[in-house]
Amino acid sequence: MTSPGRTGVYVCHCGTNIASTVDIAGVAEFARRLDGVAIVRDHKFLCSDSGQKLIQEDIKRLGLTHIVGAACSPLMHEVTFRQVCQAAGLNPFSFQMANIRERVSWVTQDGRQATQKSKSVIAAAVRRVRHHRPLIARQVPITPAVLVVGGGIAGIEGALRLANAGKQVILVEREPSIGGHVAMLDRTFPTLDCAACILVPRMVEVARHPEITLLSYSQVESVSGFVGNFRAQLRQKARYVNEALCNGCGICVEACPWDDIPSEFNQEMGKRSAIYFPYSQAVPYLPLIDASHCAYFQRGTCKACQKACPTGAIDFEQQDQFQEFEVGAIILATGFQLFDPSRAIQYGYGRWDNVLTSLQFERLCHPSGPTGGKVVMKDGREPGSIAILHCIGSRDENFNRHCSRICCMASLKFARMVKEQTPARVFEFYVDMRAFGKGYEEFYEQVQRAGVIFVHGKGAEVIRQRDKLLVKAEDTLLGRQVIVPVDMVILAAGLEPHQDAAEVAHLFGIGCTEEGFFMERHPKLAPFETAVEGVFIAGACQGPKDIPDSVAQGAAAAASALALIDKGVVDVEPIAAVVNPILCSDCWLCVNECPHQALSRVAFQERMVACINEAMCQGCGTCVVTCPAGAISQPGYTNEQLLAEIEGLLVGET
Amino acid sequence: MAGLSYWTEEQLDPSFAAQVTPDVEKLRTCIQCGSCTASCPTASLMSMSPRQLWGLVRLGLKDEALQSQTYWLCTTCRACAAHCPRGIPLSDTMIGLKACAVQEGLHVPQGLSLLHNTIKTTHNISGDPNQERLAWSTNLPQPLSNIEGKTSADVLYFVGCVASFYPRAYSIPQAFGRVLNQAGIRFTTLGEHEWCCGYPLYNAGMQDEMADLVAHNVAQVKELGVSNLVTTCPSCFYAWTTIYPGFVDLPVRLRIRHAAQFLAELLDNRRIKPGILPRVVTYHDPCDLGRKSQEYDTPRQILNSLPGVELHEMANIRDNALCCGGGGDVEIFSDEATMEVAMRRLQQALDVEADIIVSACPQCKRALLNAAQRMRQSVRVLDVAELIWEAMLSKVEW
Repeated sequence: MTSPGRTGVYVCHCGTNIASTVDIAGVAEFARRLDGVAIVRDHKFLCSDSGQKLIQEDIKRLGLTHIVGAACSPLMHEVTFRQVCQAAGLNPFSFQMANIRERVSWVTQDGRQATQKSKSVIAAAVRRVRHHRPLIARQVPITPAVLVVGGGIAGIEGALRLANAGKQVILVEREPSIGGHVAMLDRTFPTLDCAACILVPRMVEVARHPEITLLSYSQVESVSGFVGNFRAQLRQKARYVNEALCNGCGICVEACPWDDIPSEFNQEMGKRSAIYFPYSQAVPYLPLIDASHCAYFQRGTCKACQKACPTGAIDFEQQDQFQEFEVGAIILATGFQLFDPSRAIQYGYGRWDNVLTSLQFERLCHPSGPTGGKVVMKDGREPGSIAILHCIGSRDENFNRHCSRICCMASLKFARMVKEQTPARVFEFYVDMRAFGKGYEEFYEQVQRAGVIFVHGKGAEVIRQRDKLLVKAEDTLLGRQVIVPVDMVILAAGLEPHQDAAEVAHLFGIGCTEEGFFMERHPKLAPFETAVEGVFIAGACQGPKDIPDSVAQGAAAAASALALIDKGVVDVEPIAAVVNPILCSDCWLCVNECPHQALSRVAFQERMVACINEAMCQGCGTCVVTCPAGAISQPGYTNEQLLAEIEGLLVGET
Repeated sequence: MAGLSYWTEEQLDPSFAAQVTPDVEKLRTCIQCGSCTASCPTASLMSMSPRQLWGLVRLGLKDEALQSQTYWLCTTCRACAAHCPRGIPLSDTMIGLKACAVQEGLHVPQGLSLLHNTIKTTHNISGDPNQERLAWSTNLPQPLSNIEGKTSADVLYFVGCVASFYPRAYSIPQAFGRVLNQAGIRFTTLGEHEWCCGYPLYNAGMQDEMADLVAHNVAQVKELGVSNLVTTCPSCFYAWTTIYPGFVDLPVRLRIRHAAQFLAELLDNRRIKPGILPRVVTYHDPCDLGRKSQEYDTPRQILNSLPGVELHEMANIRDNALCCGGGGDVEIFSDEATMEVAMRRLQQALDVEADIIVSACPQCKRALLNAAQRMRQSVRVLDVAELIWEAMLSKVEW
């Protein structure tokens, strides 16, 4: 039996967060009667300077050996209180947190039950902590390189910040060119400066930066390792064009006879050929062959591009390339996908001509878009009237409940752009006008002055009657049903997570929120970190964002990654599992089960036994529970500690 | 401005919303976007829009809300609920308002009180003697016989009041019955023992009053021991599948289908063989079959499978379909409202140059036929069963 030692229990009120539900005095009184408890105190804010000092003084004055903090989640303040212990001369692992906030006071309003559960949780912590042994935090070296996944505005920002700090960056982009959605935009709100002018120089900088390895048309296949020491396997898809030989002259594109394929970049409004440049300012500026539409790949003949190429760069035999990189940190900046309005049948998208998505309208306005920047209808005529419908697929339980944040402002921008270019009448059908950013409300006012007609009411339906599109809504301010005939409808489609966001999240071990965006570690204090240390998120993959916010988050993620890898070493929890070779029965179950490949076989007294690589072990405990001989244990999670904790929970108040 | 409002404690009744809506928390989340009003087929006839009504209900301005005619003009077509971005059960709230008015004995239209008495005394909505339920079966060159109370039947055809008592809709059971005969399906009806399904009372806010109708019909089905029940009326179908289980346990083995679903199977199995019918048709989604029962595809599959038939879709289709105006007992409250909506729908069919409007509902057929007559249009309105029967009669072999 371990001696109970001298344990100090500190119960936090957390203002009223805990105290309004839990009977603090009752809990403290209960803790005082527990075996081995030398002192119990409560404090309004235990994490405050005075709370920390209180614990430190008690440790010194009363010779405490273990500390229990009954407060919030260990994610919040475990590190704080470990440091308090350390400062007072105790091993930091002499501390145990009892979470009576997130797991007690915040999940019930029943004070009696909350108090009872608090007592159980504290009893468990007190019983457990006496089995804590001093542990020394491990330090492992860090690979000073960062993998950035996604080459949109956020990923580009992150990559450039890191590269400019002299760190090696691997930038992976799934599409054939970097640039993301911003590359498709004509102008940006609220300043109306051209999107290309802010983006293209950054893209070029990425391409020529000596510290950045750009892998476009590439995907992450697998990731292993842990903070400071990740290993990522990447697949670069075959373009069927030899990058070293191609000079970007474009003769192949002109030679290709298959030139009626809907252009993805122009949102299916223009055409491209089977061998094509993603767009005119693409980075890298390399053509690629779309094998699904290429006559050679589909029927075995043609090769017009190969015959035309002056440098012999076309390579039909090219295969996908696999590469492996070691990095210390990862930034995910995979962006969003636009809501497909054909899912909301009432808007006639895909059924009626001249019903466009916001991105289609951007392409229509873009000087290099399908109409050379002219706002015209499908038949080439200029529209006499345009309706812009807000909240399509956003703030809607049938599709996405969240607000997509950027659509109000993008819609105002569209109205403004139409007004600049044509005498058309413009109607904005909105539900709530959300002009939250710097200069946005002023922009709204500017667009109002331009004579745009604002209708407070959601556009509910678009049908075609003869040559007009009829938009139906309620003008809620006038309280009447209105039908507005127009020539063109722009659907401000919402932003949603990529279809495969959950799979990508799984690949990197992070979580997703209810709506499917990547989950941040803390919504306020760590919006660009994730539950996995060393994996950061930036841009619209975390939630809908405009350009300034995406850039800010890209830079913030880069700064955090830089802070991590620049230190050279990283503290790792000393919870790597340990094999007792004498007990090991040489069955290999653990070696096969370990998800981190941390176990291997080594010779021991003429036998081959399991051995754990401390640097690779993540302390997940899989081997511990797998071992039939009970030969593996894990510091911080020993059988004694866990059993004592369970005992405390079960015995509770009695 | 309708004067100055003093919102005193007496005027704002906090319990009112919970009394009329199945989900008061949902109703509170209304963002007043007006999608409901914009989607509503009768909103233009209302003095207060549905959106404004939710505002009153949410505040608890009970008297003002109940005084409005808005909820009596609701066809329960559910377009509002289908488009509501907050997912509020608006259509059910309209019915809740009717129920509240009925309970308090306030503002209940006389026609609906009469309807209640009629159903209670004659067990059908027309007031004709219930023994005449099979009048349609005799009104044929070769009458359909032996179709009542047969225990050995494969299928029980629940005909419904509209097709049984309104001659304009007789042709639906006549066609359906003959198709079944041709396909060799042994079917029967409950004859005079079929009572109104109760859905008209449900829509009038008299839900409790339908209990004995439900009990009677279910008892009859149990007694007959059939395991297949088919309706040509989507309202009866919706009542049987969705409302009845709230009253009584249905026989476990009872399979309930709408005629369109049943006919699609017969076509699939080649039990019936249509000839070539060169017609341009359009399909009108009945609200009770479409939005309420989520059956949009089967009737269209039938139309697309009939040789020669060309389907032109109207502007409003599927979950965005426009009501015929004939639902929710509105016709009893205001036949002009029904007519106005039906004419709008008919115009959509004319716009796509359809020879025939096909639907799958006797009440839709009646409403649209009345509109065609008013508009002096010769467009035909047929049930999907009728169209199939015509295709089967077509001399041209496929």
